[in-house]
Amino acid sequence: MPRDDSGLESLEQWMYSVISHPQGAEAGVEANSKPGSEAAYDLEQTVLPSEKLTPLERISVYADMYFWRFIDIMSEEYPTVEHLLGVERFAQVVRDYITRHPSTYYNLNRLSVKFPQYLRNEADEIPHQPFVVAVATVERLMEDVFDAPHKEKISTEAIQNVPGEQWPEICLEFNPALYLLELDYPVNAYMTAVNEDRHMDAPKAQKSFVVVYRCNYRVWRDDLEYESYLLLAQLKEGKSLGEALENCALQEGVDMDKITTNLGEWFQQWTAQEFFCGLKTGS
Amino acid sequence: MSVENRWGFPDLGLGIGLRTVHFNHILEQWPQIDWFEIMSENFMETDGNPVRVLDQIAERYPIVMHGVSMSIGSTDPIDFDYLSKLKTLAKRVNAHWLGDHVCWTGVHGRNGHDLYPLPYNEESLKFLVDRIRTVQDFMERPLILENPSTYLTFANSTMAEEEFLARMAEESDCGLLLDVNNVYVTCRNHGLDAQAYLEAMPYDRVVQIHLAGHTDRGTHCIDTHDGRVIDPVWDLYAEVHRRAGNRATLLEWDANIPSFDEVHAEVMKAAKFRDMTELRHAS
Repeated sequence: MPRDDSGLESLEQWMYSVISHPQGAEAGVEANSKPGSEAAYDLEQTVLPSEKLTPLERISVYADMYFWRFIDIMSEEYPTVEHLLGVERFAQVVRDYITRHPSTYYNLNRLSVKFPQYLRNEADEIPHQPFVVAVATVERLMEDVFDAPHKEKISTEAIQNVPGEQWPEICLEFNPALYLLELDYPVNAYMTAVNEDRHMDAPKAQKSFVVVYRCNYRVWRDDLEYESYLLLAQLKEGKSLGEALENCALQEGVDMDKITTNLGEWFQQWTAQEFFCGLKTGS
Repeated sequence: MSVENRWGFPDLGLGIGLRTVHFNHILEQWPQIDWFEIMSENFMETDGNPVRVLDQIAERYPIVMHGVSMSIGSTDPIDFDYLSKLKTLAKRVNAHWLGDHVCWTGVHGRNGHDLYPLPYNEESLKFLVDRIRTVQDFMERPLILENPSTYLTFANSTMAEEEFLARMAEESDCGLLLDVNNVYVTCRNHGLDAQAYLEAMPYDRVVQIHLAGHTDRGTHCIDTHDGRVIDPVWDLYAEVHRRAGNRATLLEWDANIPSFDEVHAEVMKAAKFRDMTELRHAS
């Protein structure tokens, strides 16, 4: 394995520390030029000036791009969080996030994995914090669903061919690109409003149930009724349809008539939406 | 004059960087373009729509893989997990060749996801050559490495970038991707002579050419890939063609991306500099 014996490692460490300093390159140079720093270099003796730029201006080109790149990417991943916080506040929150949780993986799709958790635990000062956390959770899940493993959907025929008497025993295998969420805010309605450029105030707390899934290689996000959410959640846990219905009936506030009336239609819809990729009988 | 590259990699003609905003156009029109280059990392660790589209495109067009995360110049350990995934993708799309940049992207486990410069001296050359050899052995193919756009010069550099690249290629037996826009940007930023740069290139190792637009800030240029190729860069392309003959040529357009037809029209400008008789089109 090649080893660096040339001082290259400390030079790289110095440059990285300078350009990733949260207060900018000048502060980074200052912090990393003191004797005792892990990799102390004198800027003027390390970077040459060009005809038009000083060493500080030259290394600042990299420093300026460091946070800009992360803000740009996370702005695409979290458009609703950015809308809620405003562009400047969002950029500052991302800078703080990256400073505390720098990217450690080669692929940028993991960059913001900890962002919802960060907003919950380390960003107390942001407005509407619990709602922002809920929105961030959904927006992150949409990224995960986009990249999730692909499994062929189950055909409508396969569903239709199940004999009626076997249905209580049926267990369904779910699309790996599907997540069910119970949220304390009407996140989907708000995200849709923002997406459609409609004004909506940050909502008050109100339970909502959301499914985020991939169908025909596109990521979708739908509100669910409490009953359909409950049933899907039971089925996703691996319960047979019979067990799932029994468990639903035990829950407070569940309208079982709604479930029995809509069951056939729901299954047709869910199958068309590629919720399932296999089934088996529990017996 | 025409100098073959030493591995016999084909002149694929004129290609475009594959970008998601053009997916629908490509799948609907199957446009007349010779080949596509993919940014490798965009198709790794995902099983979503990009991979499905890529599979279809790879059935009809030659594919070349160009990455941004190998970090070949980093003093961190080589990421063999990343390389394994790269290898798998190369097999999946039957990549003609794969490459990355002469740079480092992070150190001590942190990743800035940018292309950071190396000092051009004997010590870093030896280190880099050893790394390239190790990676090439693992990948079982030559790497095709690109000259980066750089914005600073390290005081401990002892040789010009072009000399460093030529020696790196020779001593590691790797190929070169000559980005003529980067030659322009780097030479502008460092007050260097682009013609002298091109004269020093070992053209038997140049497998591919990149073209792109950049942003001129007056005091320095930034490699932004956000616009058309400027005339002085076309002049450099003509000079490379005069020295090397036809080489697989690709236009990068990564920000403010216009329609596919507009990007296509831009790369087709390269045709007037090439010997057109052997130009092939995928269908």
